[in-house]
Amino acid sequence: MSQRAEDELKQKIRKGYILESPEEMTPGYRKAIIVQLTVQADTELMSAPAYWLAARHAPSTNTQVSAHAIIQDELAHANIAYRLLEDMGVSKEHLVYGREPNEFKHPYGFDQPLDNWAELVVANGFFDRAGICLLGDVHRNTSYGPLKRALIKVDMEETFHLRHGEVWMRRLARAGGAATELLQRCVDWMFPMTIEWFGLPDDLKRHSGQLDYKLKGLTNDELRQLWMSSTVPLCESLGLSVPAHYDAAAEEYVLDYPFPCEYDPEEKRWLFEDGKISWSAVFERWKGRGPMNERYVESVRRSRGAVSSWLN
Amino acid sequence: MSGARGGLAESVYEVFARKTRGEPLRHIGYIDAPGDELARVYAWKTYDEENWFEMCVVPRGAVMPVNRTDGPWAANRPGRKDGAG
Repeated sequence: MSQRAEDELKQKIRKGYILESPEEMTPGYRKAIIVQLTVQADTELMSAPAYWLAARHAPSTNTQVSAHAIIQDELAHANIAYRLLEDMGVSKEHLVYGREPNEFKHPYGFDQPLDNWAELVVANGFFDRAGICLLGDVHRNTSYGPLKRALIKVDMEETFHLRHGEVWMRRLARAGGAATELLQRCVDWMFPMTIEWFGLPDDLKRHSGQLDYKLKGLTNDELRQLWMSSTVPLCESLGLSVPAHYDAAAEEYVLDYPFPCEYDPEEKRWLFEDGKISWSAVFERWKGRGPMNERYVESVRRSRGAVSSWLN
Repeated sequence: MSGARGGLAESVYEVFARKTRGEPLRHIGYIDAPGDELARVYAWKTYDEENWFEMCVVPRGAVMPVNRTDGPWAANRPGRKDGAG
């Protein structure tokens, strides 16, 4: 299809047009929404094994039930996003079972181990909040009707995950002593991890079409600011230190460390002292995937072959 | 369909629900399932964001479009042999 068809669709969308079926998509639109939905589905899917392994550290049966309810939600969200892709002719079977672990498109944060209860609740407080910022923006702005409707459920449930994270962060912060020290250590590696999640700064970002086709409304930097505008005050109110502050003159949040910078996944530590690195170095690290990538992918696929063979 | 194999082959079911008495039955989403019974279970467990007053599932192949020639049910127009059932 021609550039003219792409431009005509973009113009209709600017006037508020909502697409209701894949048949209405131009090749450019289709390509852009497939990328967006694959990232969304893979992120939801990979959060499940990350949270599942961490849920073993739940301090009581009640808390374990809450953690597993969150995992169940994440799997349902993944399933819904893959189902939308299936209607565009992309095979869910292939996406979940046919790719190499390093071909999944989730953020680097979900390649990291969550080793204790504090890390799980900070993941809820930070990572799920990033999910709400990103998907809430998609929900408000997307030009694809089926996705807009699917996100009603997702937004409701992610808000519950965030509340779970915040309530537990508050409890651990109030406890003082070892609990608060542990919480601070989580924040130290997970805050910059989430900042990086939002991707290239706007002045470096090549044109993706996601904004032109109204697949989202806010830019990467705007989303990063949105996340900080709730995360930084939360942490400050809990007495936790974060490497960012509000600059009243500039009317925006400013990072207090070299961004982007290198990460040591073994030590779970950002190498602020080594200074700023290039974004191509960051992409290289993302491409290499993190320590839990293969284990997480394997854990969502484990029983497929056996059960399938019994039923045949 | 769905490229699934053997005993796990799945087809699509549309999910409808209403929150309370007096509300319209609304299309809330869809799921893949290997049969009617599991479709009911998967729908209930997947769309558990509300305490639904009523939920039902319909095989995608059973929904016939009246006026549209595109969209998920287009293949089910009477006279078309490639129904999505």
